[in-house]
Amino acid sequence: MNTLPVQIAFYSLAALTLISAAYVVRARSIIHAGFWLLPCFVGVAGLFATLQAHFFFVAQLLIYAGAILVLILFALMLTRDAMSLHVPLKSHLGIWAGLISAGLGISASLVLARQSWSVTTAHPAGPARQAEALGEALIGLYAVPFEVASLLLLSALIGAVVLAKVERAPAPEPPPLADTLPEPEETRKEPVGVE
Amino acid sequence: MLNDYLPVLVMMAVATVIAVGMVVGSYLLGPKKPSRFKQSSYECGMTPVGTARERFPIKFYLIAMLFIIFDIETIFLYPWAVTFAGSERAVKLFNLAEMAIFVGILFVGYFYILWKGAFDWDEGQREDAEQPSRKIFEPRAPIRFGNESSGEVRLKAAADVSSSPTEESSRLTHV
Amino acid sequence: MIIPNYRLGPIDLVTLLPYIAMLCIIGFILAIVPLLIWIERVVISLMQDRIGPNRVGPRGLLQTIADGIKLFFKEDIQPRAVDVRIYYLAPVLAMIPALTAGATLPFSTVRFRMEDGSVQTFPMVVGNVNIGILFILAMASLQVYGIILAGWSSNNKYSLLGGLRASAQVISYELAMSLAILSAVLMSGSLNLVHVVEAQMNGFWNWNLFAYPPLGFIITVIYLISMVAETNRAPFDLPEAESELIAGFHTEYSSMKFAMFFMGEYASMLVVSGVAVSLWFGGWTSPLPLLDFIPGFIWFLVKLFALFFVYVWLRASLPRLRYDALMNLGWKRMLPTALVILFLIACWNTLRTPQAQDANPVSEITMAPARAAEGER
Repeated sequence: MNTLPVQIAFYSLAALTLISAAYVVRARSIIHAGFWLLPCFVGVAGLFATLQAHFFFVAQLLIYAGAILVLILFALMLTRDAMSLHVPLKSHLGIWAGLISAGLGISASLVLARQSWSVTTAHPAGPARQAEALGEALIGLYAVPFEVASLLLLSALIGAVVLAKVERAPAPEPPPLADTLPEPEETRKEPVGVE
Repeated sequence: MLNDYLPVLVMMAVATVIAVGMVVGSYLLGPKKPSRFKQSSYECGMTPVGTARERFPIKFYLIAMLFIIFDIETIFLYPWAVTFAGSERAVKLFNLAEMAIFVGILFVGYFYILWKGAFDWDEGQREDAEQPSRKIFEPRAPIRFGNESSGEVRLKAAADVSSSPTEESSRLTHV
Repeated sequence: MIIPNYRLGPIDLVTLLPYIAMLCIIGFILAIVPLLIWIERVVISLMQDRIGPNRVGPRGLLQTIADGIKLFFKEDIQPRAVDVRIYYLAPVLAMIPALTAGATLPFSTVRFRMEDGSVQTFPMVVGNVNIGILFILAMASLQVYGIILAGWSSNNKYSLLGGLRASAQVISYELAMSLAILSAVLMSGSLNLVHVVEAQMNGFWNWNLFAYPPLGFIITVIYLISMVAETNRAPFDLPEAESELIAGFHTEYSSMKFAMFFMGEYASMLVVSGVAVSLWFGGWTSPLPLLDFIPGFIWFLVKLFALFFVYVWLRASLPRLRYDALMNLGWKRMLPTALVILFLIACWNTLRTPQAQDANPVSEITMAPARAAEGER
């Protein structure tokens, strides 16, 4: 497990994730920040691969890098002026933000350092049967949370449509054609063969 | 186990080297003769108008949102399918029922957004909207602007047509 | 044909096999793209009753190679309005997933005589991994970024619109595609493409195309349609519609960067066709058992070129779709159809499975993870 190549892979992937995450925060253009999320997500996927969680490696690539980031980029491009504006990275709350994050970081690392971690050598499921084991767990042990997850997805689905405000508005009246000159009232008809 | 992935990693590295090499190679090999007009944005030879950083229809956002949800559903189905193929009949029935509930709940949402018209890309081109006629050629009144020199002749022709009253001809007679 | 397992120090041929497969795939893609473009041009010219390329080399065979060399020496125009870093990154990001996606695609088998004299068969595949097909799907989903980045960084209205259209189209058809792949997984019971192909050996009647008739056939057609849409090819090539979007997301690209988008497109065409061959048309196996003496990669290539011919045929025959029709087809027709067929296959499969004695489903399932862990130790 703890061979040298795995260690190298782990540290380089962690560096990739952290550096690109830093660029997400640092980037001056919000679209650039969105693009920087891509190496970040790919790095996390690679971390899953070094943990031999192959299914999660692919799921991370497919869902986070392949789907959610597309949504984020689309959402950024929808934002007014975000496409061209380079926002100055100045904030009067910088000191407070630094203090809070330093406090959080210190307390988190204290908790992590004082915790006695139990190390297990056993694999819950070998890589060869990982997808099978996951499927069995989903339909057996965790059947109810699995079904509840579908309810969550359903609410997300409905929420998405409601937020995007798709309404069955009637199609707007087509503009009058050049050849429909004012006509007497009794024979006026809808224009035929629009465009 | 990681050995299985090592060639994939190497392949990724080789692909990166090839791709970067192509960009760098063409950058180095090609001539550099920039000019103001060559470097302007391409708009079919016209001077570019406005900015390209426009906002775009919210439809795209909605499609991406729906894609995420169905993508998550599909990724749940993969371990299910692998487990399903290798189990016994009674287990399979149980699996099938469970996945039917999962997908069934999602399909309630699918039919809801179908009913809300989220998949109708263009409001005017909805499936249940009145379709324009499929006829390739429909006889139409000639477009006229009132300043034609031979107005009399046309009026006469129009009068002839109006003997068989159709929508088109009735409009024509009053022009 | 049996190859002795040559050994040089700690390295033997079996260990090197994935790397040989890697060189084969990358070399094949880079070398075959000019030939594919030539085939496409010639076939289309024949279908449209015109002459086609005939100047450089016999029957214009060297035309695309000449074009490629020419593109290398063309000026690398960098428009002023572009976002420079992303503008140069986009073609790279379009190429990498396209070249890497073939990593889990098995294209042949090799038989080695081992040291102890036994003969063993190995699949020719770069990564013989258990989530093979999902890896290809993940790489296909990463291909969207080349398009989005190119469309946005070009700072051109046509590019942005083309990039958006292309990315929306790719993600829409990815759903139908992954549901179609899912039913092949259901038929074979594995995510590893090597196992999927091995389940279809010994004759074309074992192909997944003919499994559960006619469901296998319908789902194959769904995959083929979504595969064409996923690679932005005619009749789904609206993102690069030259008449309305002047080539869409790569309007602003010139010289080799333009060619890279082109190569990425053809590489991903090859990969998705290879997936189709592996999932439904028996992969490297021969259609008739008596033809087994022909090596596997030749069968694979024959099937691959047949699918490429279908691509060209579609391009020559069908007009381009309107965008709303494209979205309707993807979301309203293919997605529900693929899901319904998946469930029909699952039901059929359940009915075909013989009843086990004293099976108790609940305890069977809840015990399964524990038993898996037991088996692992």
